[in-house]
Amino acid sequence: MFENVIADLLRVDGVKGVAIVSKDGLLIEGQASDRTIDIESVAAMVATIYGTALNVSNEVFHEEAVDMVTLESPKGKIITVEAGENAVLTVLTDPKVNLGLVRIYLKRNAQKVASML
Amino acid sequence: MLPGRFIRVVVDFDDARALINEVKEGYLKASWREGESIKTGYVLVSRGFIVGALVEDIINGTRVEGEKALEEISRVGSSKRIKAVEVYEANVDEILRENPSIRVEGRTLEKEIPGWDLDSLLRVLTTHRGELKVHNGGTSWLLYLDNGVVKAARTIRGPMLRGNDALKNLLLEIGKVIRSGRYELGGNWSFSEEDMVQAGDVFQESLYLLRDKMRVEGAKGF
Repeated sequence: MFENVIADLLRVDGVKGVAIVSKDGLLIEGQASDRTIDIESVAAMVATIYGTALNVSNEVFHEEAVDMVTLESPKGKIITVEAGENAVLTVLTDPKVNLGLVRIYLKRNAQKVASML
Repeated sequence: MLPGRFIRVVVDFDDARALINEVKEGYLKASWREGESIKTGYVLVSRGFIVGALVEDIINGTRVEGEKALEEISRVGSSKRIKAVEVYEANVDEILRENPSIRVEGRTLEKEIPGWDLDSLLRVLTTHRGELKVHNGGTSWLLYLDNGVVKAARTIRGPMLRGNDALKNLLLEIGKVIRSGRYELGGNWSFSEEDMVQAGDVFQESLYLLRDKMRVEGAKGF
């Protein structure tokens, strides 16, 4: 059902994987252009990172919402946004990806996912 | 990726024709999995007609354009592998100007065209290969067309006529078809030698003349 969302994001230069993940860590749908990426494992870890970020936001800012969670490592980035009440949309990218472009596509497609769930 | 303004996403659609009619000027976009890859297909639509098509393979970076792309999208669509379709508004003329290779001749998914709508019929006939049924209420004709040229004809209701006689009879009755009849696009008909027509281009030429006559009459307010 989310093939359009996945295709839109995979088309962005530097994006290697896309996953739509339920907040309890189940992969709803995903695809990686790089075969070394285990998208199901990524889904579970992303849900954990997002949940932790929500807790931190709540503790520090007294705000139970997070716009975006970005994990940066020397070998790549994982960027996650909320996609409706029960899911998140995440991308795995090269380290030198155009972050602005990725954010625009993530936000746009997160709205689509939210409207379809 | 084609430029355009996202309108909405349709999940579990079952009527591609309704979606095409909904888009005044723009395109439908759908993606599907193909082996380990993922493909996106675009169908460009202008005033209810399909005017362009493109398929991109996202993982392999290849693309198929025009008629071949439309064939691939039709094949995937009929196999029910498309779960969601996105609707976009766009300047189709501009897209076609910048990507002339994705153009297809005006097609419609309408199976029926009202008798008076010669513009729609002519747009379809120029590229149609297969059956066309013409009904005027009393008589029905079955034609086999190849890019607008009638290759074979016979009546399927009313007086039994075949070949040139059937086509001649249709041309005599075309006024009635335009007033109260309809055209029906079909599949393939394996016609026999008796059904074959010699001057098959006369049908399309007559339709053009009748359309022009109707335009003149309309402009004069007859």
